[in-house]
Amino acid sequence: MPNRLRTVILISFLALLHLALLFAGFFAPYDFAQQHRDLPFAPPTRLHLVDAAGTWHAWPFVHSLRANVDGSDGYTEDVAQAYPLRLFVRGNAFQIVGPWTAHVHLFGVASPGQIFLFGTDDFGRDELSRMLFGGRISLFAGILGATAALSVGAFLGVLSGFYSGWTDAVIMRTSELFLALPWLYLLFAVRAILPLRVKTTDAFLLFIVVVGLVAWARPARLVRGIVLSARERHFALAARAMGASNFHVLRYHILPEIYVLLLTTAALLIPQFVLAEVTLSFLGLGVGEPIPTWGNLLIPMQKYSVLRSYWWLCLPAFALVLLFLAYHWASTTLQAALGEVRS
Amino acid sequence: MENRPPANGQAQPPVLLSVQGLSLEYARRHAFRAKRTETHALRDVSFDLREGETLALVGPSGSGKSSLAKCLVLLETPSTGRILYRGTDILQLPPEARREVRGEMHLIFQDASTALNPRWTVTEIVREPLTIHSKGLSSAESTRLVIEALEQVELGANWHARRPRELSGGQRQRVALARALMLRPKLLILDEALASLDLSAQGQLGNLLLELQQRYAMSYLYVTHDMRMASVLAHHFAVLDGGRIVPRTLPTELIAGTLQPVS
Amino acid sequence: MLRVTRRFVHALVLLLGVSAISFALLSAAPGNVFDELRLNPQISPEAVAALKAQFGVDLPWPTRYAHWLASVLRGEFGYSVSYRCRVGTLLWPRARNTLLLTALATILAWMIAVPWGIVEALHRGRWLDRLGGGITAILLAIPELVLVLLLLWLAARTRWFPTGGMFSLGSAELTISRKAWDLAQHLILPVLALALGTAPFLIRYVRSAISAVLDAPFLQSARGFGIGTARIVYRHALPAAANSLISLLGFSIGALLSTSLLIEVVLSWPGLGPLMLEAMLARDTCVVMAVVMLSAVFLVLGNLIADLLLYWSDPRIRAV
Repeated sequence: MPNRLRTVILISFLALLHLALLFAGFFAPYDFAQQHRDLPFAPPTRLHLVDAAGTWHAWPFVHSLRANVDGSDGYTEDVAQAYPLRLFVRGNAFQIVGPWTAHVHLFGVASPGQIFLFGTDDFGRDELSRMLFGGRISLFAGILGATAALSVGAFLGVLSGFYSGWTDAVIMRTSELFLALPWLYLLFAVRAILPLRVKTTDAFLLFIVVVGLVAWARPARLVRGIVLSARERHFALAARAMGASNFHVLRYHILPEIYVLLLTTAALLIPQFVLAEVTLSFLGLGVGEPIPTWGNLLIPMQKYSVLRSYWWLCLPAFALVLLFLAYHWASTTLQAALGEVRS
Repeated sequence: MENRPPANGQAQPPVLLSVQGLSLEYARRHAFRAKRTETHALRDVSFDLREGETLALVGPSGSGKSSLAKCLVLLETPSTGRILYRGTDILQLPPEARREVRGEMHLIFQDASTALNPRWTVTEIVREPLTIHSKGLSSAESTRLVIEALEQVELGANWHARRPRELSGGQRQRVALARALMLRPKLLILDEALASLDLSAQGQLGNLLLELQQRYAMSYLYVTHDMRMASVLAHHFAVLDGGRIVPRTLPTELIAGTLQPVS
Repeated sequence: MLRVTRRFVHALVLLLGVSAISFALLSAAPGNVFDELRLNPQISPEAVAALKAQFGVDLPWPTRYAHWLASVLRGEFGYSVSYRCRVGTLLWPRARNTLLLTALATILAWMIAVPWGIVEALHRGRWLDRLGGGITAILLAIPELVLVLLLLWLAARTRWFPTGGMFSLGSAELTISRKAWDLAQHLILPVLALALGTAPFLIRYVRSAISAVLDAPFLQSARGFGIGTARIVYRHALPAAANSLISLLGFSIGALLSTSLLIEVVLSWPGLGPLMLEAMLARDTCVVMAVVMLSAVFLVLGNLIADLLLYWSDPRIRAV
């Protein structure tokens, strides 16, 4: 069934993306802050299979880079030395979760050699590593923000739909207040309330949660709609007529209807919050140097010289597009599946 | 057409349910207008239902039949009137006692496809009353009760793991019936329970209802627009129209026999 | 008429609520414009204290909110400490520029979306629809930020149109017609970015709205009578889909304003966006407040207009 195949591809792609970003330290060959001052704006390192003498090798290797001798910008490969690509190499220590650290990276090359699969930036920092670490923050911002928005939204939406009357009226009128602001203006307004200079990523992620708390209105209204219709379904009424408590009706007949909605809404909200982080960091209102996020990695794209000569610094934008594509795809797949279940 | 003789011979059985002067209004408020529009769903409805007997409430659609059924199981709160169940007004009961009473009367909806949770299997659906009234049964015991109830409604074991979507209309209504039987109810309120079925399924289910009534001495309140089925099932009948019980002349073939109008 | 009045009152109450909440929160925010001024060695602490007294910063917020409301009614929106002028005078040219940009982009986006959506709906399931659907899916997945950066790159590369701002340097001396031409050139990039950012969302909606109408029995039978496709679309399908398209106009305004904010900042278009950003960095609460309120006014007004259009176009709603 091609449909099933597509779902499998989608799920494995999403899983791969999330794992790569979650365990950025393992997949990245370098630390995000590690500078190679002698190699600014180095182009992506090429993987070779054929050496200077024309012999084929079974395993890829790289050459180290040297600045052009004639004084022009750019680098040439030093073909005299070859460094074979190695898997599971020891390198910088990185944090896995909390206090646990590790040294083993997925790939790397032996010491004097360097491998920059996506090139380097103006400080000679590995772009791939920065993208992976940066994506971790951006993605976490998205997931945390969406979780906050959905939990508050679901709670208030259930409250509002289940206990109609003044509870409903208060919650719905309040939600209208939050919906009266365009989303980005709302984001900026909340940002304006908080201290301008945020110290660490933790503080920033906290901010995204705050934003999530502000973005509860739309999910709450969606959930309320579902609860209102589920409440009047005959099977819910039948349970009530048999003497079921509110809790029973909610737990068994109403909440299951909401879970699917929450899942599809999450697929829409996560990219939105990733974008919130990206926008703020891009404008200098979020996470700043040296910590990378997909937002501040896009800043060089405003410079013409970067766009013209250092195309690899545009790769974070493509990573962003890829993430968006995956989530959009997931949301349409979910909605299609939902439609099938309904009919 | 055959009508049913009174339930147990000549002696009048005691009254199980007595509805007295029941009225129900749906009010709609308009902003900026002092006036409220009120729709009278029920006006001063009264009737008695005796133990082991069937009362048919016949009426066209929109006559307030479903509203009445919902009032009786406390899904709607009537504006005036009393609902006496074994002599106590259930509208005045504290929540805990209400729950008790709700276990003894059961509403069966017209369309079983909406009355059964589509996500659940037949077994899970039938087990729900036990969960609600947390009878403190072991899972083996409750499974036995579920299977027993499904046997009562003649639904074979190969249907037990199915979901409502995979069943026919008649089978779904049987599942609803089995669910109702779980708590050994004294009163079944059948809200057009046979209306959405084809004729043969109606006949089968009608027979099943008669049989179950015999076995468990249940009372039925049979709410319907279908006089033919009513004449088969009911001992008494009343006609509901425009939210009130009206004296009405019925087609001769229906009043022939012992079908007695309720005063 | 009652309905119109009611919607109007509702909108007004809504805006009052938003302003009260924003005001309370913004005044509770740590740090204000005076903290930023204090960092400036050229301004003496006494001067800062005098300014603080003048602006009544230490009054309780309900009092200040009342002052602020009064100032809004005068069209002043308070006083900007960092720009040293009434916020109103700052606000109006910026608001005009934002409106110019969003209005043009809305027109362009709809001019793209309606024909495209109709074509997709007419070719449902065939390759043209799939191709169009694929393009919209990709455009939808490209965040506006990336889109505008791509367009920026294109502009820088080809030098077809200017990459930022509203007028060229020295445009003040130009004649009116030259000035208009200059403005038009500067408009290309932001309008294009905004329209391309909004269009895919509109296309999807138009496609599904038109498809739903085309499936309706009355049009199926019209087709059965052999009425031509063009006539079906323009005489029957579009009017029938008008309702949902008008509501779409209403709720696309919020997204449009958000995207516009971002594009204005990146392309330094002198609209509300850059003003808000500058004011935020300067902690100029009054300006932030005014911009936030203005965005709410635009959104609420836009919805109101869509609602009135709906009311005007659909006799069924009028009857209620």
